[in-house]
Amino acid sequence: MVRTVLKPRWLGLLVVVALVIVAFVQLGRWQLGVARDKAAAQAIQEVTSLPPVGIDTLLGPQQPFPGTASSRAVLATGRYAATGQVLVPDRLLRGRTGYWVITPFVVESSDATLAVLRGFVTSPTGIPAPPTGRITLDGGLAPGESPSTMALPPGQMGSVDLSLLVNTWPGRIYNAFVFLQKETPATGSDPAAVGSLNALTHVPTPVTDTGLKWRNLGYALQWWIFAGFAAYMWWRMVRDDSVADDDAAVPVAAGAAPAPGTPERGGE
Amino acid sequence: MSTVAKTEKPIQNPDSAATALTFFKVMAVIVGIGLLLLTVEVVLHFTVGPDNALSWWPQPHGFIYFVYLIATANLGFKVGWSLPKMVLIMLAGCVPFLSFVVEHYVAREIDGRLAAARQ
Repeated sequence: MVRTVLKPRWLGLLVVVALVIVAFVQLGRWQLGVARDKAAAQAIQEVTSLPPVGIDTLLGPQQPFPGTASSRAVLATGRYAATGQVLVPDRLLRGRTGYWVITPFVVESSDATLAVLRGFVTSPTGIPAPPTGRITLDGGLAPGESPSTMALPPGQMGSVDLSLLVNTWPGRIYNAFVFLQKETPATGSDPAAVGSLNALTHVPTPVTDTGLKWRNLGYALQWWIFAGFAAYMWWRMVRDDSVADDDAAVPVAAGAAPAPGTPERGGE
Repeated sequence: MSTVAKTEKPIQNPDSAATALTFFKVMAVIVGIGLLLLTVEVVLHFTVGPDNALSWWPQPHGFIYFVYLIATANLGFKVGWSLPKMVLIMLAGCVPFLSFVVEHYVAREIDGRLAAARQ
């Protein structure tokens, strides 16, 4: 077998087959990327095409976070609490490292607290105060993050861990936080009296876990199967040639030459 | 095609080759019909749009074409075809209507050689 593989024609064919396999594997990876991009684009399109709804239509305080509510645009009317703001360090926004500013917001309709990611800052000091008046905020809903074990100074936490906030903030809280996109004075409140709005750089709502477009995933799989098939073809041709070499090596003078048409090696 | 048959070795196992020929003929017809559907899909893609009535077809057709490749290789190895010949017959499955023509000539070649092998 090894001697057969080393024949120039099989080595030459091996080079060709290797090139074909590399090309097919790359084509498969390209389709896998397309599958990912198309699914992400579709998910973003689906989520952003939905109009914002009042938060209480998606979930109430202390209720489990419904998976379908992820990244949905929500509206909530109420006031920021005067105390309880926390910072989450080591966050990235457009290549810069900084802090997420998480401020408690008391939703008027439920009197429960909602964690609002007001924005991104690069320094933990000198953060603009939230608006003091009655406002309506518009943002993307997200479930709380996993707990973090990072040791941090007071007023900071390693992740948006709602189980920590429920112990520090008074009253009931929502099992969610909001990526704030816009603050507006609530209907009926005096725009001049609510305080400065949208003072921080907003963090765009992420669209998570978008999966794959199955059709392009199928194309990717097909390229990889074709690549495997090319390898099989090469191996099979070399094996047949190797068997033929072994047959030729058997001395014909022994009188054991098979009659034409006799199955020598049985069925394949 | 009869000239090709003379250069190739006699078929070693006619029964096995006959089964492989049947498998190949079935797959050649299925791929031929599937390819016509695919052609219609491509036309629809550029007239109606990417979300046409046949937009689901290219993906399963790819897997069916793979079975055609297996059928071609299976037959090719059993009747001793050269690699270029196998590759050409495989590629014929990508040209509309050609797989029907190829199926006809392959069946004629192999039937003739099978008859010779069984004498």
